[in-house]
Amino acid sequence: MSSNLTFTLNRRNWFRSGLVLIMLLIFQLSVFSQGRQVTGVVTDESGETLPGVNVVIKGTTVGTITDIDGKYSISTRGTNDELTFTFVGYLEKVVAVGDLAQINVTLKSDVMQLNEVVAIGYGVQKKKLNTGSTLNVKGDDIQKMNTSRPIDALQGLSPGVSIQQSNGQPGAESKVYIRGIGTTGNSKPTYIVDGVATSSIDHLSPSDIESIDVLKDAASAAIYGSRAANGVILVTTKKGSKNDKPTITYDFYNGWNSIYKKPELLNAQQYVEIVNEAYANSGLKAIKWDKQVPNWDKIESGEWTGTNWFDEMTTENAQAQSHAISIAGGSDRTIYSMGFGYYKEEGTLGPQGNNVYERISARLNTENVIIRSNNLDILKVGENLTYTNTKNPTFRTGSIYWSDLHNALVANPLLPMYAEDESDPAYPYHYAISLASADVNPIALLEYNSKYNHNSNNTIIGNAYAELQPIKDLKIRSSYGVNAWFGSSRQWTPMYDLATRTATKYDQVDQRMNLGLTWTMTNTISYAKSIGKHNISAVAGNEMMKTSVNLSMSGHNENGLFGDAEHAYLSNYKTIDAAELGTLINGRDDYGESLLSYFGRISYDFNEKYLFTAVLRADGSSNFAEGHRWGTFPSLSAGWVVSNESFMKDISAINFLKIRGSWGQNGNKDIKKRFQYLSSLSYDLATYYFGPNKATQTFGAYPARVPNPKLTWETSEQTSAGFDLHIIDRKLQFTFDWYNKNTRDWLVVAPSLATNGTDAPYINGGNVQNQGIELAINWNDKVGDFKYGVTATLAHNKNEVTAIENDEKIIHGPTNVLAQGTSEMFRAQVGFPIGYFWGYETDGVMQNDAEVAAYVKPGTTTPYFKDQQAGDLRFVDTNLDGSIDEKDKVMIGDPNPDFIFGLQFNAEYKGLSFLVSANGKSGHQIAKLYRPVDNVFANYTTDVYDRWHGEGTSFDQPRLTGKSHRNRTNISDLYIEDADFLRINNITLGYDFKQILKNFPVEELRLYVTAKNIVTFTKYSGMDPEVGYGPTDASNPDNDFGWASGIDLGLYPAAQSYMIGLNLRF
Amino acid sequence: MKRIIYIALIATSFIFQSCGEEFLDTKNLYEKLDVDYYKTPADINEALTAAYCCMAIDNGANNQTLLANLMSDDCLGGGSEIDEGFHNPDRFLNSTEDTYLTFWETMYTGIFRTNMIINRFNQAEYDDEVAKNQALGEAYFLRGYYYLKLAQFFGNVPLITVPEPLNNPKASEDELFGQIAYDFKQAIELMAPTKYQSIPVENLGHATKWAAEGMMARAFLFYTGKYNKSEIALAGGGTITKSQVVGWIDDCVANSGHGLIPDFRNIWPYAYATADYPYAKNNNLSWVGEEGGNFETVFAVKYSPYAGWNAPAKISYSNSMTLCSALREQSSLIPFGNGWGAGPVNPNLWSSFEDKDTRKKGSIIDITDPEEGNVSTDYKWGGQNANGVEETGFGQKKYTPIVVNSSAGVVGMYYVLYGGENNFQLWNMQDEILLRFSDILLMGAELGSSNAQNYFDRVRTRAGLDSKPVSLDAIKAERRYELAFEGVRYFDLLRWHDEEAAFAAMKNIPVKNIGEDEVYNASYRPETKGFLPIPESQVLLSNGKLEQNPGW
Repeated sequence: MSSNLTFTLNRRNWFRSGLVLIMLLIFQLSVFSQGRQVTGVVTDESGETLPGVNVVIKGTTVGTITDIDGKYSISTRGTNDELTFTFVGYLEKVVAVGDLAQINVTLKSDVMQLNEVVAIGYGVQKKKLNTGSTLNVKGDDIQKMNTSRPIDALQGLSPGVSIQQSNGQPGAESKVYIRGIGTTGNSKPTYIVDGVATSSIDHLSPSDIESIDVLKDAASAAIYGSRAANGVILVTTKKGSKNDKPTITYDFYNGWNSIYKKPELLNAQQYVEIVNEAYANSGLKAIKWDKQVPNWDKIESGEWTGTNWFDEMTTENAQAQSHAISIAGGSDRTIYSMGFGYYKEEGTLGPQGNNVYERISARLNTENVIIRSNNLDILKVGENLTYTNTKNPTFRTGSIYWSDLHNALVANPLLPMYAEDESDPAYPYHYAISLASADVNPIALLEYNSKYNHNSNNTIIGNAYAELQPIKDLKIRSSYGVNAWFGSSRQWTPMYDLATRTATKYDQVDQRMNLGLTWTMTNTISYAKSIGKHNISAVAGNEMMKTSVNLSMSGHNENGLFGDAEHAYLSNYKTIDAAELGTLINGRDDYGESLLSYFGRISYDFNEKYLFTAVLRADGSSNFAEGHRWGTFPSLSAGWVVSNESFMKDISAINFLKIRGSWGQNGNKDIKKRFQYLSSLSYDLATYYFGPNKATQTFGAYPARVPNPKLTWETSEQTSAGFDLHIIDRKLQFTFDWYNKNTRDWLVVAPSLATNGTDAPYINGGNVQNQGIELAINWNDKVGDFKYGVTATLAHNKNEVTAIENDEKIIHGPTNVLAQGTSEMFRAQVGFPIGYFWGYETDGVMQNDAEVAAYVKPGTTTPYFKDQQAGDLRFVDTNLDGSIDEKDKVMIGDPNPDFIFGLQFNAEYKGLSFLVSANGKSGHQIAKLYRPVDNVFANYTTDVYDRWHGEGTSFDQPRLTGKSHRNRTNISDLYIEDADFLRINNITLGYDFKQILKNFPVEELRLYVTAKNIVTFTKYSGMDPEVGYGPTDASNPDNDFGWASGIDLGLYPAAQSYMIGLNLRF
Repeated sequence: MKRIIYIALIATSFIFQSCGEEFLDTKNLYEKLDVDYYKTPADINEALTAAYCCMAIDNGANNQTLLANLMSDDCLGGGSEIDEGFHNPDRFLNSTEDTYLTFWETMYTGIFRTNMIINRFNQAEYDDEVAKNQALGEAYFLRGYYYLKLAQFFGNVPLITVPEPLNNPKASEDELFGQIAYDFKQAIELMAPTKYQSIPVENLGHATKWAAEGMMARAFLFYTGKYNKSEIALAGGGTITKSQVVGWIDDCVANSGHGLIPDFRNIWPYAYATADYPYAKNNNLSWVGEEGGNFETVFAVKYSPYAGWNAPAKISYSNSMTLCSALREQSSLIPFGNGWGAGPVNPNLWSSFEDKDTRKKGSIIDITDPEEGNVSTDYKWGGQNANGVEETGFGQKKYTPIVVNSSAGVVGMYYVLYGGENNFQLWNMQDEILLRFSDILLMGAELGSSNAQNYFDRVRTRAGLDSKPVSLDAIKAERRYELAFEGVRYFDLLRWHDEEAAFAAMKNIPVKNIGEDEVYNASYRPETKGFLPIPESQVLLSNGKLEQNPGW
């Protein structure tokens, strides 16, 4: 058995060697050998030798330190000894001696320490020399949070990064903003995974991530100039390390998810009572319940309390399960890391449909030294590759017209779920009842829309690279990256008849598929040199990116040969008939979008004391016309490590102090419709029907838009300053940042005069300012074996639209958002925060006739409304013109929080670990409405009991009415609520059984229990105070209001979960 | 070492490789380039099709005919409590922002599309001179039509005749009608005098010389009446006199091939429902259809089975005016289908008809009449959701969804005929008649054609009435009965200056609001001069150049 076998593995025999290692460890238990000399070399992750490392025999004071070449020699007592390697700034490492004579060790840098490096785009930098506002989160900290999506783990840990769930459906994407919403266009940050741009990182399993770096300020992000206007999130997946034995980890957890807070719906008896009251208030004749409701006798007697549609749609203890295996290691010339993950989560809602999210991911990262000469790795090649397959649930979440949950909230409790006999046209479900003949059984609808609706989505993201280092200071690197996707979906909709307005004539099939590829070629040269105390490093490069395929095909047809889900393929639907069967075929390939970039960065520091970085990037984008394609994005940043000054040497209280400042510009080129610069003819939505047969279509063409050949880059300019301060032996660390970010020349479609007769083009037409501060405080200490840490973060942001390039100065939101028949409720407007809520202000409920008589037009005795009465809202005549109309509408709420904060506490004691984390937001509002204003028969939540029903019974909730009434059809502050909240989102208690099973052949055997979303402190009355929803319609760019949020229509709430997990490391 | 240097050199050459601007070039595969377009007859036909498409408006409550009905004294507002889209035009309110934007926008979209055709037409190459003139004539016709609609509903509006984004202030009525008359004159002169029966049936829906002659008369009557003028000064010089217009009407009557369908009722879809509908059965009705047999329709908007809410469909591919005008939310009351209950009929209109006038029951549903089928027994006041308002018990019968028994259950008759979606909101595709031959006859009589008495009597005789000396008052009454619910009444009132008297008579009308007895009073506001408000966003977007209409 070769003595250094386990430490110099190559890629081919790593697995065999791993087994040998395990056998060796077992073998070791029964072998006793005598003391002898052990030697070795200690290196860091980059292969540099480390002098001055403490090498101590564990449990003794016997030790030595490594020499200038990192070598050591120590006399051990026997094979049971363990050597402990410790060095400032690196993680402690313990190695069993066994019968080895040579033990070479690679120490990993400690995340808590200043020697850590951070990713800065096309390179890394020592954190202490970084001059921007960046944030680095280690993979371990991400994994600890047990989130299904890695990005969610940053919530509360990353000041300045707003992470908000769109909804609680498994697999739903979170909304992420860095330093406020910068545009009404695409305000998502850019994600770069191992150098490849992606639209999100949801394809990664949290266990695949080595670290996430968030580049918040313009100067840091400027190296990605073109794509950095909304900040950059750099993700590094796990790599192996040199001369390291294979580390095998297996992580598992099983979770049980339930809804944290359910809406309390009225039961049949309560509902009848409330509807009777509403009818009486409107002077309507009482409903003859016995004539219009089935089983009225059972309701009247209390025998049946009606259907609770929400409960029927809910799953208690929905299962979530995660498995993640990873293997990493390296030999002298090869490092590797691979991972396999499986995640499955069942939704807490919609068991009648398809409510399961599933993700399979596989990752392989390797790097090989091809040429090595004189201890210099001259040529390295490697690759990073991740394949992911996801299956998304098809439970519908979205607008009032597209939400199974909303359907359940409003459905009539008097409608039975199931039919009593087969003669019911909706059998096995119950047909709509005559009282509310348009109200459809929501569970039946859920089943028909979702149960036979399945999808499979695949991505392959990765790159292959070669790095040449001909001399020590120079690196030349070339990388070819791919972001490829392919997916398909298939839906069968059975024939059904649920109500007069909700029936299908035939069964239906929909099949879709898409595939695409974006490739990136990146070439960089970097050079680093130290001359005396002057350290200089530079990188220059170019990058080409092109979407070479972006194919989508879909078909719809009806009346299949088999009429069942199993055979629902387009080929089994033979008759092609657009008019009768709605046959529809689409196929297109939107390839060709490309980006060409040149960039350079120079960093200089003097004695690690005075730091300067300058970046320049130029990008050309195919989204713009020739002559307007190129954007140039410069940035400058500087830092001063005050604590390195000689005059600071005596101030021992301050361990580290760095003051940073930066200025820079970044660009954004994202537009949802391309070719805005071209004058061209569209064939969309311009069909007419000449001739005798109405089913004969004639296609028309029209100038698609007023072309805008001048369209060019959106620019965000940001000034940022801050400091890092470490005191009390580095135990207490502060990071503070201030920023002022102005996003100019939004790529936006600003409404233009309708007399133009065609669509307004995208223009460079709006500015928004985001100003804020960010603070992070860390305390880390150790008392004996007790280690603990506290992290607190706070971010404040103020958002204000400062210009919109048209005369109205408004970008309008849509109508019919809160309910059918309601007017525009949010907009972007100069002088206001983006997406603010717009409507009537109210001044309480009129309590009595005296108050009714007093609600009159200014200077008159004329009432505002002829029919106003006690119990009605007083709408505020803000312009005092004597009428309540659109001109009186004002800002009634702002969905953008003033403050986002987080708090985390963790502790470790002899293998016992404990974590609790909390996060919250304040200063923002939510617009909430669970009940349509146009359907008198919709169900109510028990909030209805807060209504006015006599003097003094309520001062803010108006009386009920049996007809639609302005009290509720008007968008007013009646629907706006403060949504400040603090959520304890994670408590984890774990124990590493290795502590008591010392001889068990693993390095770690940790079992833990976690509770998530444990308690939320809020005054908000809805299900969940975290509401990311704003109306979006991905299929129609004109209806995409991604900049809106905070609209609660009864959206899928986040689950409360309990989980048991296991971490195993060999 | 040499090897290393070579590798370094090759690697370096990759970097900053000359990557040309052409890397950023990309092609638009789904749209045609403007510079290559408007060159062939096929291009022009496509461009015209897109211009025709704007006659249908993608917002039921903004439909031109429905709006005019709601504004007139023939109909109340109806719908439900929150249907402000129906109440605003009826009550001369503007409770929502941009109430009429869809209508405004669609008309200007049509104008822009015709401006493109007219301005680029000289680059089109045709072999067939007749086809060339026809195409250009249609473009002029459509532009004239769109401006006429704007002028009737909004009064003074910006006049734009070039395909450029201009922020023009409102034009005077003289300028507007000078352009409208110019466009119709061009259309009349360019298009060939082909008889209706000789036009290939595939061309149904296209404008004709005859339609242009009729529209010219409509524009002339509106302008000279509303603004007290005697003739129109044409854009670019010249005038249109009354005698010219009479000449065109006489030409249309004599040479167009259009005529009156012998039984007035056979024009309307209910005449199709002979199997299930007692009134149709008892009167031996037989629908003339919309496939060429209806020689009375001079010009109509065509609809189809392709409507939907999402691309590639849109709602205006179906006739949503019909959906809106249905008796509110009644189900399966064969032959009257489900819909939103806009524009309940003024009972005074019903009672002012002579009983023997076939147009009385031929135009209005009386829900108490057993001959109207299930309505008389199963009508549910307020509709299924018990939220209907201003119901009078009378509904209009010309544009209401007709449902029949079929193998697929009770479905829309057009769905049976042409397919589409089995959805009551989408299956209405009745032609929306903009100009009917009886209107041509009555306009001719009103303009003082030498055949005035003959024209007038033809309309009356068909309705089963006796001759009567032609007079303005007689014509006013006749137009109301003949053309009820066809979107012309309101503008007739305006041009006769009869609107205030008409609305004064619309008082204390018994209605049911959500099943409760109440009364309805008209709320006309003379300060508006009868015109709608300019959409607020347009006033703001014009930076003050576009002034809001008086009274709004």
